[in-house]
Amino acid sequence: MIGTSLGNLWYGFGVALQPSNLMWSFFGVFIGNLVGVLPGMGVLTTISILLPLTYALSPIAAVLLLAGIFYGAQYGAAVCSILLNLPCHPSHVVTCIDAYPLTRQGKGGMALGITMMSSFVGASVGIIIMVLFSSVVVALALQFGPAEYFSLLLFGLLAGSTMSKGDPIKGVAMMVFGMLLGVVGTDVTSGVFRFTFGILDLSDGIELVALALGLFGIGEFLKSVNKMVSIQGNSPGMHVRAREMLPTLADIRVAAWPTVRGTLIGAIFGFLPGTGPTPASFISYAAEKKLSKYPERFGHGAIEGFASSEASTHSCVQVDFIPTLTLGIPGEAVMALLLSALLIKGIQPGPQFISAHPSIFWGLVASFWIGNVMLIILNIPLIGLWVRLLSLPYRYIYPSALFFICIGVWSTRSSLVLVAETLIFGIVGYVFAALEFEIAPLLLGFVLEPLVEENFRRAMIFSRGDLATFVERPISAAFLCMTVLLLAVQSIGLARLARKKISANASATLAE
Amino acid sequence: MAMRPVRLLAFVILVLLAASAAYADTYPSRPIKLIVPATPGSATDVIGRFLTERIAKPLDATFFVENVGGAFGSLATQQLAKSAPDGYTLSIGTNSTHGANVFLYKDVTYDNYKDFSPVARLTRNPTILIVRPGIPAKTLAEFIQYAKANPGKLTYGVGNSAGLANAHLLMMMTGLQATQVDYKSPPAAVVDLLGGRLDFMYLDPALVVVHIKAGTLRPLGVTSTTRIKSLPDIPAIAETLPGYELIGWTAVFAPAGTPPEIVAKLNKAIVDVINGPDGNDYLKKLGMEPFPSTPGELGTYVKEQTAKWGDILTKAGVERQ
Repeated sequence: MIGTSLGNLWYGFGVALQPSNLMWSFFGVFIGNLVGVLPGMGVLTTISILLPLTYALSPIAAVLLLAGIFYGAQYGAAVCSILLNLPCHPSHVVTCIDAYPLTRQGKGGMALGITMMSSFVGASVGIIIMVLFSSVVVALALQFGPAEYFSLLLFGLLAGSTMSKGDPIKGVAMMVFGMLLGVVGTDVTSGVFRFTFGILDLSDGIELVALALGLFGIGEFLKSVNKMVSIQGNSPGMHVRAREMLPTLADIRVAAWPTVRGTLIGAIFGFLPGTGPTPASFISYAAEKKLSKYPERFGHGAIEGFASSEASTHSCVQVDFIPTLTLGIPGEAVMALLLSALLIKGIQPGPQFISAHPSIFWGLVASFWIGNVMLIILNIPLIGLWVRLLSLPYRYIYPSALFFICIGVWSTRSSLVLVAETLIFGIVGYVFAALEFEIAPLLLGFVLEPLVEENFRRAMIFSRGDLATFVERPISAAFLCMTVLLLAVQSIGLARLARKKISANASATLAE
Repeated sequence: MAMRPVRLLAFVILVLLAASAAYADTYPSRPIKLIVPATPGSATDVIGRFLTERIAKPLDATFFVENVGGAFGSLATQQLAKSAPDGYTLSIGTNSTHGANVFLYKDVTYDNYKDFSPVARLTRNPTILIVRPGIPAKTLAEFIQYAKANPGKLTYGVGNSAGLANAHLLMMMTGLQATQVDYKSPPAAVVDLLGGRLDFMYLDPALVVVHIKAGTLRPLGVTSTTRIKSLPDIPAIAETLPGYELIGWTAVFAPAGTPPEIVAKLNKAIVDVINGPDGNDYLKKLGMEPFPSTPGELGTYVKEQTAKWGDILTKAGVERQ
């Protein structure tokens, strides 16, 4: 089976490397990269606008173009998060936490380099999984019902609560606050409006883009506006040497294992439709922090933090294609659009997809890899350009970024209400930053709450109100065990810390 | 010397007047906005963009699409109702925006019929009643029997107003009882159907045609009175339950008071595209059928549909939010 897969892959490369296909793939990743760098500017909107262009193209060129935009945007979004603390895509929020401090220390280029590498590894492994394990992945995905989703996401919530760099209680508080914000909107089960205060624009809930860009982007600007001369911390115009822009071998070694772990976590969330890269990125970050010998470094420039979350985002994005292509079930909005594009060409994704259209499937898989290579080639020289742009005085950077944020947010739904939401959250973000409350756990709570709640209630409907369903189903029970174990480990850790403090105090008093 | 500037001025004014007369005469003279009541990428959005691309040339116009998603399209439709009736703002309406929404949301204060000028109907979208293969029923009649023998034990999925209304219509016409499971959107429910957790659901052909062909999901009937041409083996539900008909549809609307000549011009261009071989083909691939009409026919249809959906939703006990 592996033999045939590899043979097919070879055939796929043959298709993907045809000059016209190559050109469209490049066009796609280039635009995607550009769109990704601009905050809020939707990948979705871009693909919709370019959709008419695909009518004239062959099916494979069309898919290469659209898919290229999608994962190209992921690469671009990392740039903004690292250099400006602006998560251009919510799955890069976690990258901001540890990569931005590196930029402030003048090591932005190194952070970018590490990100490129871990993204590439993540994407490549994701592609390998697509090649070898598609059918396994699909069979597994069908086993995941609401009970399993709930237990997995509950574990995610718990894991996320460990990620705050300051006082853990503050982190938990922010996460719960985020969950409360997630409640706003329409309740799926009963159709009731919750906390919309009569504003119809809130009936679908608070927009994630508005929340993320407001809290991080605008909040950050409000905080730094009079205090920062230049992001890099050194005087503007200082010449950054080429050597300082690339990661050293030591840096790469630090990033290695986190990248691998992140990739695996991302792949898991990739094949579960409806979860997506955002929870995956948070959980990889939390996992790294838990596994690290020096968790205090996180939040101040720990490479493991963003290496693993970027790898997870990219592997998740690649694996996301599997349920879309083989089950015809889009994992998220962009996939739905890709599905429409394929349908228009007369190609129906589904269980027969791989056998009925091998050139498209394997050509696509091959082109994913080629597209990622193109992105690396595009982005590495750009690192120098971005770093030089950063040395511009802050008073030029932040108005432009603000401008793009407003346009980007507005374009999601052509709505000024969204821009207002963003500004309000900007002020909220400033208050939190001033009081030293971290924003990242808030976003995790916000993203996970609707999923956790929806799945819990749906599982209860299916089981007719029987709570035992969560332990009766094996996969769900497994995740619940992991949650309990994690709680136990946390409690033991805290108890040990408390005991140490008590004995330290005791010996201090004895010594007096 | 003093005359020449005055003559020049007079000449310029005359030219401008002539130009503005010409400006007023030819529609369209500036870009036309099409509001799509859904996020980019949804079926409604795809149709909207396809349409604007195809009618641009015959109308000698440029179009741009604005996506205003949210509240099942109510936000978009409210925006249209408030726009100027000069033919430069149009929107796509569906059975949700101009049918069901007025019964689902208290804030929807527009009148489906009075506040809009119907332009042209676009598509009809029958849905398919799907059951998971594990259910021991091969035809609709068998299924109704099985469901009535197990009241409340079966679960059905609902992802939008069409799924909701269809399920309630079925239950009202047959007396069977089942438990409702809600989803944010239909695709999420397909996983539960395939995984054997959900029992039946009304779904768009585009979502399920591959599974029907592969045998992983079983179709029992279509909600239109005639069979779908691309899936002729699926009987219409009306063949077993006479009088059953509830289909989704899309159409183009303009604000009330738009001049009839502009409406007629738009209607002709749209109907030509829908009836043309390209349009036909395109829509069929998305699982929809062309359903063109004159503006007047669309108006009557909206009145009918509003009454029909309203009837079902009120009888189903759905409360306005």
